Amino acid sequence: MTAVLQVHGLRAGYGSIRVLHGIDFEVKEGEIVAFLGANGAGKTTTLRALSGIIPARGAILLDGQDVIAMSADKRAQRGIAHIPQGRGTFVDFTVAENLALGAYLLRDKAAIRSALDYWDDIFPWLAARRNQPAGSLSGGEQQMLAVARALMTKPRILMCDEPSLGLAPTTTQSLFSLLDRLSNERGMAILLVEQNARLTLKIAHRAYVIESGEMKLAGSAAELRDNPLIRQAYLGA
Amino acid sequence: MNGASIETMLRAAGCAALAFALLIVPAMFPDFLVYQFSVALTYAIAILGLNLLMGFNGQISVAQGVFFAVGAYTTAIFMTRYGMNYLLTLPIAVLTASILGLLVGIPALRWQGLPLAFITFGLAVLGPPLALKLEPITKGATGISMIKPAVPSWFSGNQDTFLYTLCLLGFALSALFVWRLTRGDTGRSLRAARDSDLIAESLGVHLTKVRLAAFVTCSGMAGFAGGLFAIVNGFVSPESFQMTKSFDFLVGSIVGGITSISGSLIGALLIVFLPDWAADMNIALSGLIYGAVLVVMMLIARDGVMGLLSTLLTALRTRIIATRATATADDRLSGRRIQI
Amino acid sequence: MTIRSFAKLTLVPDMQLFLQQIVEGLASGAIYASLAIALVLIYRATRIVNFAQGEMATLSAYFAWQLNQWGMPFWLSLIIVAAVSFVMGALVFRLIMRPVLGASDNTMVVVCIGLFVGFEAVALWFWGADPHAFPRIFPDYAWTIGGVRLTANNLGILATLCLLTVGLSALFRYTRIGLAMRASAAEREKSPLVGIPVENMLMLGWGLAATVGFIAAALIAPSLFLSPPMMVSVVIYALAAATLGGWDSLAGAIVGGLVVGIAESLCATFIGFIGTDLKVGVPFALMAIVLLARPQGLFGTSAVIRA
Repeated sequence: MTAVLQVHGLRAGYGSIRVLHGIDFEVKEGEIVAFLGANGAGKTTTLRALSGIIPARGAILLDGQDVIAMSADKRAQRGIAHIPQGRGTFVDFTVAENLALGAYLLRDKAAIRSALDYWDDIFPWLAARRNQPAGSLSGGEQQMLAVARALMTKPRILMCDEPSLGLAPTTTQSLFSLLDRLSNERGMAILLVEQNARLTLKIAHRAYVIESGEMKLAGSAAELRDNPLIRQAYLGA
Repeated sequence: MNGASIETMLRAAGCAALAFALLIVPAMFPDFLVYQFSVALTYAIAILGLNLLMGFNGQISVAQGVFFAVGAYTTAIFMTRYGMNYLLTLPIAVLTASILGLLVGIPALRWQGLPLAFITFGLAVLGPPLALKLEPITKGATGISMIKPAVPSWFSGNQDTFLYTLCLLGFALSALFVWRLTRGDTGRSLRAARDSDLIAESLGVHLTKVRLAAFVTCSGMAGFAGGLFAIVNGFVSPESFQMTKSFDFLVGSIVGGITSISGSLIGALLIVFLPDWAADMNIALSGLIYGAVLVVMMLIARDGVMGLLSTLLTALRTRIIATRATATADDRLSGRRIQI
Repeated sequence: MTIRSFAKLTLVPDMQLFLQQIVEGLASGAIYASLAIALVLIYRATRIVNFAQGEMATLSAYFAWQLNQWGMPFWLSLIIVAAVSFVMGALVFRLIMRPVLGASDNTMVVVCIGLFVGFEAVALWFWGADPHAFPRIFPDYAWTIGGVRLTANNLGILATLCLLTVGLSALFRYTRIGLAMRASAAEREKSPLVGIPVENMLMLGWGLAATVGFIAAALIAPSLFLSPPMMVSVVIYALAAATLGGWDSLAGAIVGGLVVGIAESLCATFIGFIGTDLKVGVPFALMAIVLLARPQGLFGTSAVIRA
């Protein structure tokens, strides 16, 4: 499997506060990679640095090309899709507008049409809610919408920031099985930032653990699941 | 002697120099300039009030000129209609301006941010026509002339010097007042209310009371300044209180430094002397400079001239400490002691 | 049914005067609405209220006037200056607003006031304070219906405003770029994630608003005469109009403008204390009432106030 995303020595922060102190990791095609860690460890900062919302130093190689010097919208063009923390939807816009925004980079009407059809199949309820503001959907529905929006352009990698936050366990299950399905069916590379380690490690192939802006552990999901430190800190067992 | 105490000494020296400069003005300049400096001092008081409101409490007001006008007219009316002694009119000027401040400040609590700017702008536009309309009281466009106060026998100096001293006293009082206010708990409450509602409330700050108090104090100070201005000028009319007066105070506050007491003087000097100087060259020049100054200040020097000076001081201090630190490291390495 | 019999029914003492004042109010209201549209447009596109919109528009009007003075046909100068205004608006954004985008509301207000003062000074510098006559866009006809006088100018302005609003609303609602502009304004941080070049969109918004502002100035100048402070008196009315209509509604800006115009006209005529002297108190009072009672305005969805 080829690496879609390779990150070397990533450093980022907010103003004078340095959060990431040089981390390395990679995500391959068809992989779900989990990013675990406590609050404030730097998980969200990592995703924001990758998508370009905040400036960063180091190397971010997407399909071998360094995108560190590119602006966020250029990175989205290259194929980095980021669902930010909180509701990843455009809350004041309708469901249809959210999808249209997701399809902003698609110029081909046919491509847009087929993408919309694809998501209508997966989420039959989408069509009925076309003209409702995204903010009126339930938390779970909003996250599903955010995923659909992010994937309209068939990006190279999908990055999700704590999608399970505030969702009921059953909804989280559905969301995660959707991600699993996307990874299997479409060979989607997925970078999943989560606090819910147990569920995440079930669908992830590999995982990294980040602490105070530094990479502490890395390995396959199975390895981490069996790791006593992880079990204690994140799985509560 | 470390960097911090050097800075304190510099600040103290600066204040002393400023005080000295202010005191010798009457001796150094001709009467007309002394009069202009007096006016500048009254403007500085109004700007100080604005600094209190905008810099320390984060509420914007484009209507300071209106409260200034209210104070000026109050003094003028009480002096001419009721023959009141000029000094006694000042507390009344403060009172009337403060009452208007209360009337605006209460709804202003709901209008934080942009809407407050709109409303105060509207008030500034409404001011002059209102002054013209209330002709029975304000004498409309004719304005009100007053006899300037006589110089008391124990004072050695002419009338311009006497009035200048009066304004200087007024400014000193105001500066002391603001200084005390912003130092202690009140200052902390003010700033907390400016920076974050949540933090302020968690500190036990009563947001409504603080914001309203700041607004009323700001307008009261403008009233005081206006009263002094009326006394010094001997004449009030709607002409002196156009909408641009409020812009002038805003410019003065921003340029001097929105949280700086000495900055209010710098700002005041700017708005008194720049228009005359610029008008000599081109009527549009002062407007151009004001506009450019406001924009540039927001881009590169949001804390005004005093803020820039302060940054310079801090930068200097850091350099002194840094040089000392490297020196110490060096001499540790080389085993020698270096004299600084 | 004639005006007079209608008046007898509704007990309005001087129905003709009343109706005439309404028409006058509509005329001035149209003027307020033109500037209000430019203000609302900038707000919708960039979440900034540009106090200086009127002054920038006045400067553009001067450009058009000057070109015309130098012999260029009026319609051509209008087209050229419309394009120049677009560039001017985009440049102002790029050079001045962009660096202060993340700053507080108060900083923005100060910058806009700086632009306000500066642009007026530029016009004053090059063209002096004397008013100039501005060429008419609409012919000088008038019709009298039932004792009430309607001019071609009034109707022309109203028609232009309606066209503008329909066009702009359509742009925002139905086009890809309109959606991108709205998203850039509402979600500045999230929009780049879908590939929208946010700053370019904001620049586009400012350029567009500058052009609309110029159109407003060109509509207004024939009646008010071109002078540097021409729009200064209009600004407070336009702010009230936009606040009344709702800052995120273009149609609201028109309705707001007309309401402000009619209210001012009626109050000035029928409320003695206000008269023509205190006319400017009407938009002020309206604005205060709206902000207290219904901050989001008649048609707006969210308040400009950030609680």
